[in-house]
Amino acid sequence: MRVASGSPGMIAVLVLAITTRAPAEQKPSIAMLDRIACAAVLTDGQGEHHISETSHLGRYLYVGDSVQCNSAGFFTVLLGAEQKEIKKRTFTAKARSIQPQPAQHARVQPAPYIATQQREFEKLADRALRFHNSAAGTRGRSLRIISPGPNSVVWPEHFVIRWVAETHPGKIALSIHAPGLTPPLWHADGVDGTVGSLDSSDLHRAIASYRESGSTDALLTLEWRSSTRSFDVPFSLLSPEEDKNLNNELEIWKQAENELLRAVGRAYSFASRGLFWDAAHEYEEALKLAPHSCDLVKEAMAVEEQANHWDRVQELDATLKSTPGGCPDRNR
Amino acid sequence: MVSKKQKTQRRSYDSAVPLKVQRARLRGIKRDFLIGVILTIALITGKDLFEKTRYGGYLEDFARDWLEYRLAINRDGRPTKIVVVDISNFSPVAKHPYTSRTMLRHLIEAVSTRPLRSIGLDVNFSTENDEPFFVPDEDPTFFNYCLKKKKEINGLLFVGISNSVVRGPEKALGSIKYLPLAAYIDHPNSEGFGASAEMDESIEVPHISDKGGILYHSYPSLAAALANQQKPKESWLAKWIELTHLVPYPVQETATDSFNIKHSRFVVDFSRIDDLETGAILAPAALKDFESLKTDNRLGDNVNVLIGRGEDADDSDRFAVPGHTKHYPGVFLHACALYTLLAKENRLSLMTTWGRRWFDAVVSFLIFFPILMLRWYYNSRKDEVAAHRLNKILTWSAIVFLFVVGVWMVNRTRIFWEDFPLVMVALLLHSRLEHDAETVAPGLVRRLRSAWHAIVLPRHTPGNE
Repeated sequence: MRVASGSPGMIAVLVLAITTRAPAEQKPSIAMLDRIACAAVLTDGQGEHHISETSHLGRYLYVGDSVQCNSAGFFTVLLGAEQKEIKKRTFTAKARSIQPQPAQHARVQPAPYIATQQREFEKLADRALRFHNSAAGTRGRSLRIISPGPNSVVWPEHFVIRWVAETHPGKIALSIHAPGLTPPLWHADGVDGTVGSLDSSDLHRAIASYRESGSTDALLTLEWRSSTRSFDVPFSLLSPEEDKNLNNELEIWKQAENELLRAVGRAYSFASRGLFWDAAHEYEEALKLAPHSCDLVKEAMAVEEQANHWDRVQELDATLKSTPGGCPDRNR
Repeated sequence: MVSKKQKTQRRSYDSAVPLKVQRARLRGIKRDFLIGVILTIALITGKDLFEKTRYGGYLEDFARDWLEYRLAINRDGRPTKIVVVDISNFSPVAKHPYTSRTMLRHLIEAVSTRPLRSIGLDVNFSTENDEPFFVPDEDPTFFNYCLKKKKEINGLLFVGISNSVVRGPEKALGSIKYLPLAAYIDHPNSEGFGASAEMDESIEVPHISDKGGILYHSYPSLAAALANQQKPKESWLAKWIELTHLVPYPVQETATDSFNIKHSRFVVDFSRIDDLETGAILAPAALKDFESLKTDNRLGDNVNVLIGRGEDADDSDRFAVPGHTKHYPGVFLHACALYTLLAKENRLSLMTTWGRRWFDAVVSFLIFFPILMLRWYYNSRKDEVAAHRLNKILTWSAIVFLFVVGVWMVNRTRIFWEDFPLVMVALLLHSRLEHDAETVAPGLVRRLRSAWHAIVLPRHTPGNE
């Protein structure tokens, strides 16, 4: 997820292209709809749709999509760092320098009708099955540590350790190790397991000084006092260079006039560096501004998943399903 | 020396009673036989209905707990030939919990250096949504390895599937070529009361084919697949018993739900679950330590290995077991199911609904019929047979006998008599009601006869004669 740092303009163009992290067979977006103050019509691969600001604010525009005002008024498109106001003419999204991502899994589907029937049937059969039986097997050991996620990146100054809060009172021990070093970089014993998170200035200092030594790889260990078992999560610290680039980018986004662009831009800057927890927070801000944007909801879901916010992923999934007019599956 | 009083008493026994009295007694015997039959049918029907109520369910729970408890305390020390390899030490590998296929492959490789009988993975490989595999990058490679390994282990290597059975045999495990590896790992939910003593032997599930038609496919359970036992050749007696629905075998119950999913289930002997848990091997967390498994004595010859999460199993993978107080990880339930199916002497039989009805009728008949026979035999004696006292003695003898044989010795009979509390209550009720009916019946019959005569026959007046 990391990108090389570049000029603010370049970053801004990339924002809309990369933050989508389009699923298989989907082309990357290059622009986003903002204000719609006219009777606008969107033409995409699935035909013509009448669009409104309520339902389409924050909708990504993909290569080949076009939007036109059929009445007096205007609409605005966020194009990279720019905000273009378009009146009485068609805006067509162009590929520019961004190439569509190749399809990852080409799947042969049966006829759409049978496929729909199959899906509905499977859902009902699964429900009937679950009514009588429960899986008596394992998928695998579940994660007890929510943040940092495995192989994610943390920002030392804002690092908070989060774990699945225990329902029964019990003490836990947390420690951060560096590869090859026996004594831990930081250790906290007797932490209340029911709390679920720990934000400590000692922890920030310890990992910041470790980073200054030139290393970024670390391992968080969580031990339950009542059990012999422990949980390890490898993660890395944001390097000083990336930290600097991140701060620069955040400054750029701060200057952006459009609030939605500010939030999405910040989210991109975080997500592209593996700072999913922070990215998730920014997407939540963006969703407050454009709650019906299918694209933003999907983006937020992807990031929340990386941040191990499973409940929120489910909520967003429900939002996606209940979006007025539905969310088109743009597999073009 | 015989006293005068005793002589008088003996004479009274020996002296014949008038023919009229004898006929009246015979009528009474016939009437009480009818009452006995009607009461038996009524109580069996009542028991059937009561079994379906909440309180009937509680009584069956109690019976299941008792029977499994008796099995557990009478368990023998024979080797189970089953070893559970606990993979609790395997670390999580991604945000979606899944077990590392690499670790599993190395584990299978390490344990299979011994001449094992079978290997079962209580790991859920079911596909989800529209994805062809649960872990697309790793599953096909792992399944190919398992197919290759399966040939080396008597063809007895199976991996777990759960909800993907609804997708049909071609998609259940991603591809039809991996289907020979698939074994069903679900556990029946308790029907709203206590823990289930049964597990699936197989499940038949409908699915929509790519051409749109509904097809059915049957999947074996993990235990049944590993046991790989064919239905034994039955003697004429066993066939007759099965024909009369008394003790069907090996599948005890076939439940079909509203969606036409057919569960063929059998009763599991959970008596060795603690032994299996104690004897489980905790797989090392690091690959380099897998060497220790090659020399582990518990992995002896001809042993069945079940791989799953034990110590660190999630709450969703822990189940209550009848006759035991704690919840056990699913892998131990599969191990018990396998233990039950592996040897003929481990199997438990369950009476079907009709089997229970026959049994209840026979027990009831064995109590009231001998009394009627005694009454008929002593019909000509002056003193009547003490039917009520005999009824009480026989009822209580039957209850004690049935409890000792049916419950106390369940480890020997191997018949899982789930409705014994209800049968015992029914027997006591039968005794009581029969007594009441015999007291009330003569008067009732007399009144009914008078009423009938009053309606049908002309009024009998002296002038008409």
